[in-house]
Amino acid sequence: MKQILYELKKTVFRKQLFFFFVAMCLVNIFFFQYHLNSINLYEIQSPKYRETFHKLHHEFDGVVTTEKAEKINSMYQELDEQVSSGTFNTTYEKDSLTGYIFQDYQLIKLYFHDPMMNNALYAEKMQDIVNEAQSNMHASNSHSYSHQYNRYIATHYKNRSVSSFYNFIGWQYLFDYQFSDILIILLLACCILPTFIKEKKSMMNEILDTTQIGKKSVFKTKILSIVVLSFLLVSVFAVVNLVLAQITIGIGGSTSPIYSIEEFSLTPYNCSILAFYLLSLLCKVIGFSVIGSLFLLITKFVKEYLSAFISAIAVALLLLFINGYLNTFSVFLRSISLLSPFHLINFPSVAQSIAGFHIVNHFVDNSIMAIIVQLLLFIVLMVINMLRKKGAHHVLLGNKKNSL
Amino acid sequence: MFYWEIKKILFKNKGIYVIIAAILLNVCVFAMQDRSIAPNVSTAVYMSYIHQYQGKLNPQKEASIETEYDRVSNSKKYISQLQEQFQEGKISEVQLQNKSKVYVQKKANLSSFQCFYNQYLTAKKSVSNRYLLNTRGWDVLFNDSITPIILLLLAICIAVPNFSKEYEKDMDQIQLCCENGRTKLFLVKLGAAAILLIVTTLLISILDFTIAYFVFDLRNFFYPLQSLALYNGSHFSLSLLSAYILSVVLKLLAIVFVSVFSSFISIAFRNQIVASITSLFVNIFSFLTIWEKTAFTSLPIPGNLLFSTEYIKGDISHDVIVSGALASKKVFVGLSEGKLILLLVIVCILLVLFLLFSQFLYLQKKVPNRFRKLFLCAFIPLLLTGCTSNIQRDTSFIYNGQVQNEVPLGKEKIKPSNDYHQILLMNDHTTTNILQDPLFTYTIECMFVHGQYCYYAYHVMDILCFAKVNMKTFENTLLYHSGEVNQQDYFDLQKMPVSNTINSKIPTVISMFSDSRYIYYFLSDETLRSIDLQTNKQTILASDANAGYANYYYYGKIYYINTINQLVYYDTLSNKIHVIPHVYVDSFKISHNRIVYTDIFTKKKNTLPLNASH
Repeated sequence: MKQILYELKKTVFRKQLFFFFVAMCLVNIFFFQYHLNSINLYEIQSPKYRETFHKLHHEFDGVVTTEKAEKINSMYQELDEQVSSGTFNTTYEKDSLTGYIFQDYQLIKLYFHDPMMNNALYAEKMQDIVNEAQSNMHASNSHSYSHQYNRYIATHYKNRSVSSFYNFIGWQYLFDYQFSDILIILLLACCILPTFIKEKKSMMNEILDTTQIGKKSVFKTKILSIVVLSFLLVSVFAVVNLVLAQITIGIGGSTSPIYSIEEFSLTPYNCSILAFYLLSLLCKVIGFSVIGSLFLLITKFVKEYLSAFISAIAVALLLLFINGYLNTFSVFLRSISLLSPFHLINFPSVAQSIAGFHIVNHFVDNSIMAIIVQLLLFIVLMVINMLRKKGAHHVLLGNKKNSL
Repeated sequence: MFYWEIKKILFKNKGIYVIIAAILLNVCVFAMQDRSIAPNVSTAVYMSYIHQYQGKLNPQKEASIETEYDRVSNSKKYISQLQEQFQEGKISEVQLQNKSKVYVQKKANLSSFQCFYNQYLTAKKSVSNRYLLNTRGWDVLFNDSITPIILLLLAICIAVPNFSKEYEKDMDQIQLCCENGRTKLFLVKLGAAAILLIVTTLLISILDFTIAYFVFDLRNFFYPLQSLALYNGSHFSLSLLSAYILSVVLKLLAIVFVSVFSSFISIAFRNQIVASITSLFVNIFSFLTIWEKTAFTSLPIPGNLLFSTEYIKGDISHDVIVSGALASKKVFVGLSEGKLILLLVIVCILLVLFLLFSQFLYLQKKVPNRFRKLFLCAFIPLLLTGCTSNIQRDTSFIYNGQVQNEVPLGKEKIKPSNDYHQILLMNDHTTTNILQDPLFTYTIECMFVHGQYCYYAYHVMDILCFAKVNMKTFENTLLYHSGEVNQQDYFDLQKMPVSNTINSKIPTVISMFSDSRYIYYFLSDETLRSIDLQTNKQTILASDANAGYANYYYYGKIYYINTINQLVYYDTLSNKIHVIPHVYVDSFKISHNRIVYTDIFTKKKNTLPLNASH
């Protein structure tokens, strides 16, 4: 533990890095605000519209009761009649919710009536899919891929229903927002590369190899410090993003099932939104640990700071590039794509719907495959780093023997 | 001293490798750009129109283009008229074939002409300064976004180690002790880096121009800048050549600015990696924030100025999808001459200020307050140079295509489900869903059965997909989709291309065939196309296939009826189209080695043996 803290002190707690880290946090806050414009509610609509949106949500959020549903329905019907007849007032109207009748209609329809309707129909829609999957299971051989695929669907989609209604825009925004990940990669590069290259430049690594503790546990400590560093960075940015989302958009319904969010209606996961968010953070930690281990591997081959940094960015870009092949038609490219830790870094997009691999007549979901492959990759990278380390140690001992 | 500094940058800091790599990379990327005018546009046809009409528009040219437009866009109507005349006996078969051949050719050239005609319509709006020309070369030269990025990385790689590498080795302690080190060395270092970068930028610009001249047919140097599509709203009265020279001059100013700025950062941070990241981050800041370039030119960020052609662009508008059926139009308002001059003045002031700040930091002195105030004041006039954006709303619709009916399969038959989302294998007693995917919600447009596989086509938005399902094991395989193979958006840095077909009907697949290597299919836009499953390359084989009529795949030959009702076949082995002479049909089918068809004139059924000739 002491060694991990020492490694962290060496890599993270430096004055320059601290300022850089603070600057990155400020940049993240700026981008978080800036990207709010990507939400229709914030890009086009007026402050009064947003205010009404929040006010109505405050009133209707929670378990959907007949009373609430009837009230929304009557509001919608009334506005729909006016808009359909074309006789509504197009100028400013004081008594309306947002100031304009058409905007009232749009607000109620888009953010209240339609989502509530979708929630009400969700259970039926999922049951239809489950029924179809079950009938497909009966039609196919129980050992076939098709049977396994349909069984996976039937198992994961059964007994689904959405009984509550909340403003999920905040959560959806949090799952979509990816800019923090770029900053975390930059911070990882800034923490890992200079420290380990400095050790190499000052020949410290060779001294470490010849000491009792350095031989055995320093390397493991380094790897663990990368995992802890990834965990720290992911946690800090997650907290910042959660606070910002709560202040700006509002996040509610964290105990509702993840499929309550429209984007995730077909996700294979049945946990709560909060649990899914924590799972996605855990996946991020694994993903960043893999990237950190790759950066560590780079420091073994490269002597110069700048070359190491360029190599690290090139590797990150390459991994990002192959990440884009997950949904293509070539099985080879899809398999290669799994090597990218960016699937775990952007876990929510992989876990949005059921899609996966055909492995010996079995169906394995993309999200599960990504986790397994990345964990394996992390272990492989650890072993490769260790092997090189051992090799270096023997070379050093060999040199000493020769000199003696 | 100057010589030694240049030598140090080139050889000690390995700058020579970076410069050579940057030049080679730029040449490769620039020369490897797509040479075609636009997808589905024949360069030869487009160029024939350009050669005929290039230059300033006049009434004669306009009349001639309009006549050609009528002939091309109404070719189908004229072909029908000729057919009617032939049926009524007013013209002979030879006359029909000769006359209709012209219109068939025109129809085949529709997309190429449309490309030219769009250019003509733009030119017509302002005849005095929008000329007709082959814009491919100039478009490549003016819309090149690779060269600025390469130059930016090059400048950082050259300028950052120039100072910070010495700081990391504590060389500054020695340098500040000697007289030249405190006075001349700083300026010499900056000058050496700037001169190397200026020479490289000039070299790259000349190479780009030469490549554009020889590879992309760069001509018409003195035509107005407004002749180019993206620059037709430009506020600058410049010829194409002078606009390019202006853009190179701006690039040179930008490269010096980037170099000075990166040096300032490297002196401030004294660490190569932190300085490189900070410098890179600040320079690409506007790209990260302002995707749509709405306020791109409003910030005097060194990296922005490298994209010099953006500064002479005029007002631009384009459609984007905001959500669902809503389409917004964002307008980019270009800089006027006055604003550009104001911006350049601010850039020059900032350049000098960064130079002074760097020197103070280098000498480890405090920056005087008056310079700090001046630095802040320099940003205030930027509000005047800003660009604006506005949003308009529009409603658009997406259409669905029609579906081919059932496919007989011995005692069984295959047909789509009622909602066209599943494929059903039906016999007298049972119905089996062979797609076996409850999550498949796309509309199946067409099916084809070959061996134990059922091939099917569907669209996901405007992306055409072909897949096959094994009818025994129900294993589903996606064979092809027309979208991007790699769907990486690089954290939204690269916008996925937005469909521009939302306002028009997407052509649907009427019928399809597949052998082991190719998928052949007829689209509702009257084309017969093929997809090579090994290379995923799509080819248009014929542009005169009469959509909605029967077509048959028979031993490597695809039989169909063309737009003038002739019976035609495409030989997949020789890749040639053959017209069966003197046969004009309404409909046909192939059975027992014979073509059974209904003659268009007599309305009687005839047969034709399928022998070696066809």
